Amino acid sequence: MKLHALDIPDDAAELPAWLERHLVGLDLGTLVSELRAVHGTAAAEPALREVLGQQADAVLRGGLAQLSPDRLSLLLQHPELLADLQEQILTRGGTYWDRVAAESAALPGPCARGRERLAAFLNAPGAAGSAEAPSQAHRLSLPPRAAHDQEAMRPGARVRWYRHPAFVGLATAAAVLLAVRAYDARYRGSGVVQPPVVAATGWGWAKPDALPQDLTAPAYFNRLADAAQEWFNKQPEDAVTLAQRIGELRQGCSVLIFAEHRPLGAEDRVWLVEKCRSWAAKLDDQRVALEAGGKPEEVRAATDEVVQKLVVALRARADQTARG
Amino acid sequence: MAVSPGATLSDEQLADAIVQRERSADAMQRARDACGELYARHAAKLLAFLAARAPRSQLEDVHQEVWERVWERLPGGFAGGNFRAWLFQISRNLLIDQARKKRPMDSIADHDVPDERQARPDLVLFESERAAHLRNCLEKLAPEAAALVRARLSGQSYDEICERNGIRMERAHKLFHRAKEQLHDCVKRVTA
Repeated sequence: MKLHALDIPDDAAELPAWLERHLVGLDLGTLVSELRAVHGTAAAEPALREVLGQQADAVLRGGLAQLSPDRLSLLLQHPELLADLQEQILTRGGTYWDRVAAESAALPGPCARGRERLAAFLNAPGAAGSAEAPSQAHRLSLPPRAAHDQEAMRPGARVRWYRHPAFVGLATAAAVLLAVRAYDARYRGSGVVQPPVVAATGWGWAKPDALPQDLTAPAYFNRLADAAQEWFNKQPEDAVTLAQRIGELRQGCSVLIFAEHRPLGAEDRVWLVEKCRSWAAKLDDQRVALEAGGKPEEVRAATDEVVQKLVVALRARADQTARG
Repeated sequence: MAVSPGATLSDEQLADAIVQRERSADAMQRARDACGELYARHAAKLLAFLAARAPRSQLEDVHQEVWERVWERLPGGFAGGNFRAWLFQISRNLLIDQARKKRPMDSIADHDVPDERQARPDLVLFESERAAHLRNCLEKLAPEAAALVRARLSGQSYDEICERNGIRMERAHKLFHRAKEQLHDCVKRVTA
């Protein structure tokens, strides 16, 4: 079990950035809980406005580097203020915070899955709010996912409309159609070479919005790394599902090999395409090993390693291009 | 550069496209696209907000629920103004609804001491078991190590700590590193 608070950077200069990542990431609740365990609860908590003082607006515009070490220390010692600060940042923060959120490694997976679910919802019969739409009372109860599934498996259980197999099938088809449409729309008339014979997937490099062409080179490499990291969002245990997922990742390699990569200079493009060919070959090897009877857990571990290395390579290239 | 059709519109213009969705089939498609664009702009920050206030096992379901509420309630519930503020208000209300469902009134009455947190059902302190384990494990550390952990986790630099306590930098680093390992092992052991 990871204890997030103990990852506090040794170098005090890195403290603002570390805290900022938590404020727009998925683990702030855990961090607050850990810091509370360490510092205890004070009899009188200061208000956020007292701690931020005159820097409140500057923090919303330009981040925590605007705060003195003493004020940062108060936030850590009264961690519930971090939840209040987070709310301020998310509801009123400027583009600085958009950039911090965009660089978060934890968010792309849940965001992508949410996009698929929203597309399915919007394309469901009755989503426009007609009588066919599910009643509010019915949909508001949200037991954990495992409980959902157990409930659905009970004989005679009422299956939620959006979990009905017929709907799931339709919704998946609709989501794929939407993804392909969006992909077409993005590339049509843009001068970008659309990757041939590669169907869009809901994750990784083959998803419709995986290759934004309006980024800087370092941000583009980091975006590719984030997309690759979505591999770890699922851990298929059986051979068929694993083969399919490796295949989807492999499809992503084709997307990269054929894409134009406008944000990159010629040298970076050549580097990326050569790397993609190498990664594609390694993924092909894993699929062959699986189809030859290899143990799924071993193949998955080997593929994990390939993906981990390629993510490191992409991030290193991002750093290199950032340094010029 | 290719941009999505709604990329140049403000949040409020996109919200208006959703409000107007019943006018025609084209309007419905524009509304769906607008909803997708709003999602692209706000989903990441909304997830961060919800993740600090809802159990992780329910995060993605709650997130989905918020967007469904947005779609359903925009036509009658959004009176213009700041869409982002409205989105987070919808989210806060959903969390409050869920917190109330989980905490019936009779269990609230059991608390004699007024707790400000009770007045803020949107701020859910979860993982209390994990925090209790960490607190217990911290108490098992040697006093010097525990004090060092508290100092480091309140943002004090090694320079400050060494100067205040008269210890050498190398020793402080070593002590903190060892305390981290002990805490990790201890919490792992008790939660296994």
